[in-house]
Amino acid sequence: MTDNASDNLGVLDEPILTSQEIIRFIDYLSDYGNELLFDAEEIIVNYGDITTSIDLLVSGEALVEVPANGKWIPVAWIKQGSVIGEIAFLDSFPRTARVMARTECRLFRVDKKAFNELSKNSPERALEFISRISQIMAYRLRRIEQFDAIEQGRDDMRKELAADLHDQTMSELSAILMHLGLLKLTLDGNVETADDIDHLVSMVKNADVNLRQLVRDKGHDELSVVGLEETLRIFFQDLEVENVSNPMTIMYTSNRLGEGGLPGPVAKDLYQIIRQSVLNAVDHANADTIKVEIMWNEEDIVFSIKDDGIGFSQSNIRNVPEAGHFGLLNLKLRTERVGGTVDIISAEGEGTKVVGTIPITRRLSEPIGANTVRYVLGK
Amino acid sequence: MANILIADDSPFIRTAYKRVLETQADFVVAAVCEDGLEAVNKCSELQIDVAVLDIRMPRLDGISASKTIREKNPETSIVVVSAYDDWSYVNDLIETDSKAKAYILKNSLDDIGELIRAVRKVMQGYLILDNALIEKLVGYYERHSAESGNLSERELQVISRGCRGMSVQEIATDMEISPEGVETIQDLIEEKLDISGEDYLSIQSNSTKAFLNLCVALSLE
Repeated sequence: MTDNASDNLGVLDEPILTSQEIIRFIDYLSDYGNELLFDAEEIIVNYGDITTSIDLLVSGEALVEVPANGKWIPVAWIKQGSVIGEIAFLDSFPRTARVMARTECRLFRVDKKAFNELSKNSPERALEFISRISQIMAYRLRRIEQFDAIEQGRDDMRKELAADLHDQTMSELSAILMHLGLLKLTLDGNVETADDIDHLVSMVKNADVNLRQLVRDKGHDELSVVGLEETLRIFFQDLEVENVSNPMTIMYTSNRLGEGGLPGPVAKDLYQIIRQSVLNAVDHANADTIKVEIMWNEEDIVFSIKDDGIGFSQSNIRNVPEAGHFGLLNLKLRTERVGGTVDIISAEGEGTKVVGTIPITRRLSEPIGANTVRYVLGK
Repeated sequence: MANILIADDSPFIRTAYKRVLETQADFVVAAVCEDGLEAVNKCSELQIDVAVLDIRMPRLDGISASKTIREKNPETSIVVVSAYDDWSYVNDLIETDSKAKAYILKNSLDDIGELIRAVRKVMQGYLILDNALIEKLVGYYERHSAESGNLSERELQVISRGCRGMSVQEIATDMEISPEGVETIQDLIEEKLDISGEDYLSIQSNSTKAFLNLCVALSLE
């Protein structure tokens, strides 16, 4: 079912060169470029540099960072097969971001002048190279559009909405509840009307709970301040004090995720993946236990969210309401954006599993020992 | 008779509060204001016993208004009704002066008795935190009790009732033990949290404050 689900969601190619492509291009360009080696933490390309070379990342991982408020904020995490500087290669403007090696990086650098030589001597090869680079750029552009639409728009709207909801709508709901309370006082034992009022009260309260959830969504900004581990802890604790319809337990296991060694963009996407999957399980799975596991191994992060709830069958995945479908698509896009893969496995009556891998080197030599925390909801 | 002032920028809320409070024969809603500045001025004009204030209001917010009101009229009790279960607001409210103040959440008011209870309790000089907030505090404490478990379950039961503004007698009835029993537990709490005070009211507000600070510190660890 996983494969089918993938088809439904539309699989997108990775915006990177395959190993074969790298080998081929280096072969084409060997006379026109040179291989470079960077140590971890070394700057590969600096902000403001005016260079018109393009780099192929042959091995290693790097962070793309932009300056903001006197600090360097990582905006992307790139790895083997990525292309660096394709925009400056074409338009020759100063670099708008810096690229720092996260691990040791091997690059193949091609200068624009040298590339022009290749165009003269071997136009087919130059064309092949440049069209592949254009493809990657086009892909990146598409991704930006997609995510901007989904994320930026939502982020801004969410903040505005949240403030309005908090200040006005939620206050008005409280006012309605108080008026209903007063109404009940004046009833003089009219049981039927009292029942009606109780029903109205629970409807309003339900709306209030949903609004609160919505308002809380904007809180994920704290991620950059306190880190993934702490943000998840706050998320689970908040779930504990919320009114969930049936009691359940969340077992959360992690190896402390390197205590902040995780680059911001990866942490942000991973948090949203976990959050969305857990909320799906809490709201729809009717589960007793949700097991959340995130383990950062030497070369990758493996995460899983498993519940023992009602699950869903492949035939009705198309019937999943738009919001749910959107959630699944979002899950896939987020994982793919950080170069990972995710499977959503479910069958009616057999619970749902979301299992994924994000390849990222664990740089800090910290103990791997896992730690489990239990959160009890709706007790 | 108690003279009460209401300040909230929502007309729905103002009407709701007014109607709820006026169910009490000994309450008079003497002023209804749309923002914090108006509330400050009315408190100086009229003899207000209790000011019921919203947090977010145009011109002057409820916490700042409460400070000015208290400066100019030390006898006025304060009830802040908030949509935010945020510790920093609570801290702001009780930082310098914690007696005769309440911080309650708007969505606790569906039990209309809560607002009435808060008004009566602050008039007696108690410091009151919202039930939901106290539950959250106790939750934090319990979750960290393995590392920091200083207070026993019994002591937690007493202190959480104290945070709600219960008197010794009320705690005793609620827990089905004797008032002397409550006092014994209270002494242990005072010792553990290093609290002093000349009377029950100062001890009540000091221990509420101390417990709040302790739990907030735990939640940040």
